[in-house]
Amino acid sequence: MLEGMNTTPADASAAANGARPGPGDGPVPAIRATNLVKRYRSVTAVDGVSIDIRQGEVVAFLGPNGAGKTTTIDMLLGLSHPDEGSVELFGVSPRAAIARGLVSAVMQTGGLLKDLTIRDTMTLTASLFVSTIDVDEALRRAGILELANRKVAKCSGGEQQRLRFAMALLSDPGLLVLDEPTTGMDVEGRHSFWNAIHADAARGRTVLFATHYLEEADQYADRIILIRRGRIVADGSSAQIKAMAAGRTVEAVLVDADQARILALPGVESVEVRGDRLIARTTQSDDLARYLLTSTDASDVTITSQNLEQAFLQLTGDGDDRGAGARGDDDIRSDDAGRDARAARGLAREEA
Amino acid sequence: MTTTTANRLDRIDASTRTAPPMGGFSPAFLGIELKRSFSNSGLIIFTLIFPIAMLFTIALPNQKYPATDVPLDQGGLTAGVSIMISMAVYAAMVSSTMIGVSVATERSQGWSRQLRLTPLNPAVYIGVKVVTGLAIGAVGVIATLVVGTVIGIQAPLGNLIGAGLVAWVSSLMLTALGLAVGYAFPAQNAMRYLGPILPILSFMGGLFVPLQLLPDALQTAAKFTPLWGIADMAQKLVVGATPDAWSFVNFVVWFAVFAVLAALMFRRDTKRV
Repeated sequence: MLEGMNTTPADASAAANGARPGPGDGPVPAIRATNLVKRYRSVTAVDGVSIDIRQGEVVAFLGPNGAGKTTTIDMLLGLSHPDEGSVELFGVSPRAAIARGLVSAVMQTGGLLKDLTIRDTMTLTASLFVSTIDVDEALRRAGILELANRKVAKCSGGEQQRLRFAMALLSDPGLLVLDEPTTGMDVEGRHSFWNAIHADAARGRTVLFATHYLEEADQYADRIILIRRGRIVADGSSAQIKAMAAGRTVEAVLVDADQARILALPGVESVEVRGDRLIARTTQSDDLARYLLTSTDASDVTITSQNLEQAFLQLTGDGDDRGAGARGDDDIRSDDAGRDARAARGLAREEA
Repeated sequence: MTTTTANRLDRIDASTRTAPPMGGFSPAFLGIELKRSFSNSGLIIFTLIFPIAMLFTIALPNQKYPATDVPLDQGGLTAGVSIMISMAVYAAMVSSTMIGVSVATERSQGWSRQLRLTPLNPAVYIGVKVVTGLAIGAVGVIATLVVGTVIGIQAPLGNLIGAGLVAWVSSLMLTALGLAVGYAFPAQNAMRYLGPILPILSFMGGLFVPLQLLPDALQTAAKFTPLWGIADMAQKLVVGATPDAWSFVNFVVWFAVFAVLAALMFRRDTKRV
């Protein structure tokens, strides 16, 4: 279990303090997953993941391929059993929540019988639940009502994905889980798919979607959980994650750089020395450049802006961990890399 | 199935919703399974076309031979009657095996996994497969016997009902075998393994060739194969003879073996999904 991970988000209404909500405490969390671990032989695919999601949140589960997103989602849905840890959806087991129609999921691929028509698939699915919305209504919301009599085998990938979405809508679930729902769709398809999801979320449906598209997470989620190599590396609002990404990289040739001193400068997030090159990430590049040029022997100073993509890669990439940390604000929960960065900053502050 | 009102979805209390009774079984689910089976051309070929074609090509030419010691001119039944019931057994068993083994395709298409995201209890899914196998088996048996009777391959109604019921019940055993193979192997392999096994078992059971024509050693060995019991019961009952005492034992033992195998493979699979 990582220390930084369960710190209470700044938003005080989050039921993330570990206390079980009582009657007056607001609704039970849509997802409460505690310390999930899943191993496949020697590989630990998911390594201590805890997720609390309040009802009504739209959360992106962001990470590169192979980060453990699908493995985590399988455990959240009860499709596989965690080796350690536990999952509750709306306060009950995943199986019980699914049987009551509280939770639906749109999986990445498969899950459809090719020889059935869209309508038969929907009728069959609807017949398994105690209570559902109208089949045509679900098809209309997913935008495939006019295709109802088409065989699944004749549907395009995007149409099949809309069918999965329509199936997921049938039980009018409180929680909708989408595993990389737009993989293989073109830009326009992605856009209209997300519009359908958003139009549908107006009544407060909780949505958790896994994605490796950064823009998707940024555009459609209230909150982003970043996962890398089976661990959560950051968890915060899109704005917070964006702030992390807003920094710039300042590089300079500087022999014997005082790393601690530079780290203590306002806005500096990380410092790295490669030979005689100094590479620093900062949100206040002007200040750092001014310092380097006026107070040190630095030469050949360059400033490059850090885009979202780079921040994402830095947070989730398999490369070196230095600089991969969150900033000082504890709203963003971060892993050991972030902790190291903070520790280094703390050290630097003491010296300053 | 009722339509829910537009309540807020972010104030959910799990106790306000209920799970369906009977593990999610619904007539609509069974109906769509039946519809799928009856629109599966491969299944229809083995259930209807193959056995009826055999009636014309094999059973009719054998109408001139007696099936028992009683000569035809003294009211003895024809060898065509034995062939007809053998074909009815074959129709029921091939179609029910195909229903059982279809779980392999459904697993590979991710459908079983999708169903895990619904209230459907996996045991109910199996139950629907068994009932579908019984339904399509019944169609195969009835169609074969009715067409045979119409074209002149005749036996007393009581004999046909008794032997027909045996042929029909055999579909339970073969659905179990199909399920076991369907859960044990991936889709592309499942039918490949069963494809050659079914004709061999049918041959050893005496469905294709009367066992008396085989060497003694083979005849003895045949009594331990899975289809011998069913074939013996059906073929004896249809001509009004008493089945071998061991044929029922053979059926029960093999049915138990396949059912246990199916249950084991199913449990292994649900753990893995």
